[in-house]
Amino acid sequence: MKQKKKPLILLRILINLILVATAALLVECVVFQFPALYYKEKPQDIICDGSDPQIEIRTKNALAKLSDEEIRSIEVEQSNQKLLAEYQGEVYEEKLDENLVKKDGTLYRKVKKTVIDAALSQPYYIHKLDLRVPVTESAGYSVELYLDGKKTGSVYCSIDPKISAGIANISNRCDRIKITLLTNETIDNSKIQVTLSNRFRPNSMRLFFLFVLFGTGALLYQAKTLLRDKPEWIFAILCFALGSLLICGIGTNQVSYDEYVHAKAAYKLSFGTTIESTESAIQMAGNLLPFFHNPEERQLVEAYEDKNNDYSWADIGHQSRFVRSETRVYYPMALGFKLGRMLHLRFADTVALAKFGNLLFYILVVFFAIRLAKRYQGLVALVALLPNSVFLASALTYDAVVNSFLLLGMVLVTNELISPEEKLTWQNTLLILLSFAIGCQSKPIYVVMVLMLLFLGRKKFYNRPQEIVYKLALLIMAGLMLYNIFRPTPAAGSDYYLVGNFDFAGDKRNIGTSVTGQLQYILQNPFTYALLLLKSMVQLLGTYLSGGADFFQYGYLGTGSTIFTWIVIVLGLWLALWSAKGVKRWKMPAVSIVLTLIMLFGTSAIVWSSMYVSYTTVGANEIRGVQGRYFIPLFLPFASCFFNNRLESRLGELARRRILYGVMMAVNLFMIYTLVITVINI
Amino acid sequence: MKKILNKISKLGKPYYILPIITLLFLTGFIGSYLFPNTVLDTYVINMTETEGDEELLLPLSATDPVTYEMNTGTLAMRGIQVGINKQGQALSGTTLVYRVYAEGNCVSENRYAVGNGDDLQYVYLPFENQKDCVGKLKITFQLENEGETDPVLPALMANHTEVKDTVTMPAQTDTQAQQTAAPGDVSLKCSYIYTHNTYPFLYDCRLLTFVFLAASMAVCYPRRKKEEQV
Repeated sequence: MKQKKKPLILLRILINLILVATAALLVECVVFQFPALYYKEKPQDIICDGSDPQIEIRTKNALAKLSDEEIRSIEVEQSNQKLLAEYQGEVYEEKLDENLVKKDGTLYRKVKKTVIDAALSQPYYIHKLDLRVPVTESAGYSVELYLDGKKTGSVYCSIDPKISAGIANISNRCDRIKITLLTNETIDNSKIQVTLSNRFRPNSMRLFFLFVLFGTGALLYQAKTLLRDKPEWIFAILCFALGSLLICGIGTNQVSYDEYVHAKAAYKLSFGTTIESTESAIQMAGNLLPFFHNPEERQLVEAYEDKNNDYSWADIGHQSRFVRSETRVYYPMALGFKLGRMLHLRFADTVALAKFGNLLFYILVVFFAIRLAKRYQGLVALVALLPNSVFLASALTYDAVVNSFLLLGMVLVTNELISPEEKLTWQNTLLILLSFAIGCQSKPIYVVMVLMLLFLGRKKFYNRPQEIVYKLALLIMAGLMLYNIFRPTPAAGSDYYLVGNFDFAGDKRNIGTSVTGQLQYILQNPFTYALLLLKSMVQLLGTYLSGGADFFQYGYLGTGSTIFTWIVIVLGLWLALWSAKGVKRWKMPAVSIVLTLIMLFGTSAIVWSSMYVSYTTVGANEIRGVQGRYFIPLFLPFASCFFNNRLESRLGELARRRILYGVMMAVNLFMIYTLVITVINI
Repeated sequence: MKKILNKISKLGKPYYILPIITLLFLTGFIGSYLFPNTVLDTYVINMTETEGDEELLLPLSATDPVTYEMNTGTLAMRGIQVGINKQGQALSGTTLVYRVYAEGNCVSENRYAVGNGDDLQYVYLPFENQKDCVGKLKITFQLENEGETDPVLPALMANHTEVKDTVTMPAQTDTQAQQTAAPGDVSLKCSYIYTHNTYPFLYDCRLLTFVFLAASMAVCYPRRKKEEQV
């Protein structure tokens, strides 16, 4: 019977895939390509050499105000130069770029302003405005549109000198267009090329998005057996779909937290002792790759990256043949880089492959976490599908390894806590400790979570000596991981003596940091610091509830709406408090609840304090750099405090899982559409 | 994953395997600590010119040495990396002799065949008796023989960057360098090479010792004994 059923299932899957793909194609062509089909206009060039009387061009000098980000970057650079001079025993002299002007306390940049005012022969629906100009420094332009003498819209677009082009999404009808081009250099007007277009061009990323959207509906409606019996497979499929959308949609744009630092580490790890860094790889490691905002710019950026990905003139470097322990978390990404090189893939595809390495590894570990969770698989899937968790799994960062292994570790710890009568097995012990050892390699602070095992009851052990040795070994293991923060194992690299010097240790992305200085401040003002710590923790809790905490964030792309935060919080509490109909759940013992809450408070305090010591200016009355995502590993233990064997939902497991996956997919897909598809892929 | 572990346990009894693995990691822990991996460590001292400065050459000769004085502090120096300009020639017959003096005593004397390196290459010149190459050092560079077949003489690369605690003295016969640079105005372009010990497996071995010790404690030894008696 089973053998007969298998081809039928495959046929059903195939039919579903065809239907979903057809629906996606129809929606893309009919709904999204409607203006191109309706107006049927040919591309139009605006000639800027002064030969067309309908086009007026004038250039003059102007001042452009620097953005807050640019000002902060200059201040940080000056602070680091000062620190370096102090370290080398030199006198620091403040220097300002000659193109900058300080006026009324504000910094401005000297620029050239070129205004192109073009009257069109007839009203034109502009979908894209393509402006190309050879520049050597960053530039930008703003577009103002007029129809029947009235301003109908304005758009700003930046020009990266590496691609010498800026393509703006207009999607508006006009009969006159005014382009104001700001450059740092004088340009030859005849070299400016402006093209207006409204082509029929189905968007591949939007098609992919629609395919995932309709596919999710079909999967949740049809895959009943999988949903009921193997929720980990549903997670794997959905997480892969979301991750693929993010990876393909974001491309080589570096929008994750300090992505360039992680990219550099993973890229280096993909080599042996000799590192070959191409120009594109160097720019990736220095956060200097051009950023694209639409498919047309993406084509130019990827062509630029490929041109500069030539290994024949790569920079050669060397590294130790022994990989540092905290660097090993980059292996999933390094494998992708290696594979991309071996297959001679394009630069963008190699980066995507590195991200897929991370994603697949995340899915694999969480897959086992869901499978091993005792009747709370839904909760584990919810934490794993949080927008920030999915985003990190699809980016170049070690957080995917940290989050997945800590989730697996906490599932196993929770299993032990909710079954106090069952004996501890060596397999579980090994899995728990290895999960924490791997998960905490790059962020050892979280290892305090494993100390929950110290409070396991006597019944979990066969005899008292075993219990004592077990807990002692656990304590030493956690202690050694924490000790490694302060006294790292010596490794190759001439910065070793500087890194080991606490007087100069501190995050150099911020001004005035010093580990020694901050520790001295805390010891001198313990009560002030305790108050600051508590205040900061309460404030962050408030932002969790108001939707501001970035466990919902897609990196620097932005965050979802507050309502989503509440929906997910309510969903999480519902899954934690109520069990499915007919499913008896284990109860979390009261002692374990109290101890878990103490552990959560302690871990949070350590995370906050570590950022105060390493990332915040000495003596500051705020703690900088703490992000809501740092507490994602604590979500599961917090939710486990609500486990009880009294409340039973009216809904069965199938309905609960449909709601869970449906909501998490809706939230993620909405965010992907608003932050990834519409912002950089249309 | 649990199934994999269960299969592993079938291969051998965890009663014996887990303590043996623990002991192996303990041995690794002690071994890693006792036998460290010694690596070369490059400290870039003066490799690039500041704005407005330009590179100059310190010609080498067999008669007078180029002298470089510096202070290593408490670190014992393993060698120095200097740039050699061969002016496009092979110079296969030329040998560079470099000596290190500590407190007036020659603690190291080595030779380097100039023909072995590429033109403009920064070559690593290792010292002997590393433990003596510490504190205030004077390094001299001169040619052993001005190769009869070689048409030109090699030179060391330098610039005008001021480097703290160092003095570069061009060879006495180097009239060109002496005319263009006042004493103390020339700095040899170089990197210092030190060594330090790394412990590549120490972290893993010490961590896994305690992981496996804890796992060993989750195995029921007394029950095993009882089972055997039955």
